[in-house]
Amino acid sequence: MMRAAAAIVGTGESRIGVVPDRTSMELIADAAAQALENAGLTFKDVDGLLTTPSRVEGWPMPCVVVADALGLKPSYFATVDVAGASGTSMIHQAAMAVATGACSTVLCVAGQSLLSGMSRGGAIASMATRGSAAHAELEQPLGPPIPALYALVAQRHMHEYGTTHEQMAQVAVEMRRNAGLNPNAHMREPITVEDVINAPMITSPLGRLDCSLVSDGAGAVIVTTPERARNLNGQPVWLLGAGYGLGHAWVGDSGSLTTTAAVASGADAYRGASISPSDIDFACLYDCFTITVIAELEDLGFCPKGEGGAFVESGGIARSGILPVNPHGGLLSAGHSGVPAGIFHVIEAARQIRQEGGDRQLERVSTALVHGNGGIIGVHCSLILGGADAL
Amino acid sequence: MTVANQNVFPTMRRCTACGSLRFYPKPLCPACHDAKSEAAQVNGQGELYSFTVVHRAPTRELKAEAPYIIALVDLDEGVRVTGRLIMPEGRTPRCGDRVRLVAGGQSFAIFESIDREII
Repeated sequence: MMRAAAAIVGTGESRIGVVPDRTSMELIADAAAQALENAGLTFKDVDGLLTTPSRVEGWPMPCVVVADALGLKPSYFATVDVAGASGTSMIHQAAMAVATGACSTVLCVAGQSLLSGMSRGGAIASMATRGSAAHAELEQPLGPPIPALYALVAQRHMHEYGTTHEQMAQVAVEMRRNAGLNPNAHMREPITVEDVINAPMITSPLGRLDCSLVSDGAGAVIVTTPERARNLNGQPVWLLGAGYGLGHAWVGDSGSLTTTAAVASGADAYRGASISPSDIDFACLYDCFTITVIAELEDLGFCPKGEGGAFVESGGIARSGILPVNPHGGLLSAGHSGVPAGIFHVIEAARQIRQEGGDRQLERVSTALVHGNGGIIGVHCSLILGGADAL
Repeated sequence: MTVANQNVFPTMRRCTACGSLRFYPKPLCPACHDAKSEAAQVNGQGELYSFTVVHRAPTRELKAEAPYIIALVDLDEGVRVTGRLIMPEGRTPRCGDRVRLVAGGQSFAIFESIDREII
């Protein structure tokens, strides 16, 4: 796709965390309204809609149900279903839609009441059984909670590269520290490496604080044409590059669990943007588990293979580090409402580039890599976003 | 003891065109896309690719079984399979351990370590 063929012009979030007074659809409406207001647009300006499936609601044809609830009759609509990569993929799909003229202004919106609508235990049991990322015949009978499938990745990474639980724990510590600066984050109390190591063991080597939260929440992003973007008041955030990577559908059917198809998604995104990892000012990386971030840092080219743990341990992903990661606190601390939550990484990247980061605004950031990871580290979609300075 | 028959791995197939083994059910060979395949038997010995000890089972039914070990095993025939792993009390597995099939459960294979240090 052509560089800068579409731009993000608005972002919005519902309240995230424990929000028992809002249904999934109300969370979606809250996020959509805020994103349109942020863009200086209204629902009447929207002629494209993208969303993701909802585990809590189990809607048939989710894009149609959401469009109907929001009073939209879009000329382009689709449900994007690549699990945790859906958040980044929606942005790429929206950009393709406006670049081809299918529509001019796309509302990408996703969210659900995962915590209040299902309960924490209910959500965990549901993710392990109904529509699970575990193969129904060859994996589910073994009894893996979703963290067990990522624990297989972590255990192998530790074996091949000497990655330690302390290094993984540092990821959780940084995410919590960042969330402390985010008034909309689910968990803001600081934690230490010792807290992560001593947390109840879920599935070795992953303890409770190595795992993403279970939260309520929705996010929305408005994507439009270059012409419209330039005529709005806010600073456009340009889609400079995008790439996909498909490694495997099932964790037991992968060649390697430690080198992922994020290598391919990242390479295509960098090529599209005509830049390299050293040009990236900060990153929003899908952090469903602490190990995921370490694997992504390596496969997206921010450090050599096997050195992701050391990169984190040396402060590389901290706000003051050479590659600040997830200034909002990520899935580990800002919030995780299931598949829809990948959109929060896009929202944070756009806000930072637009200087809308509030207390957590990073200095001198114009180019970001945003990465979504789905399945058991098998499905990847990377985006490179940039402000005017990056064009 | 080796319990190796197709009742343990009923989905194991060999591509009749290129000879590749596949454990996950697929209509086409992942290596050559040929549609023809035949049931295949494996010896049941291999190397532990990765594992996790599940302490917090995801459902009420599974809680009584915890802790249990989920394993990925690279069989000597060159195909990766899933199963449970049993270990002597107090011993923890390591990636790379030699393992062998000891039983086919109702719906999954069960492996044990044949690491000499452990036995």
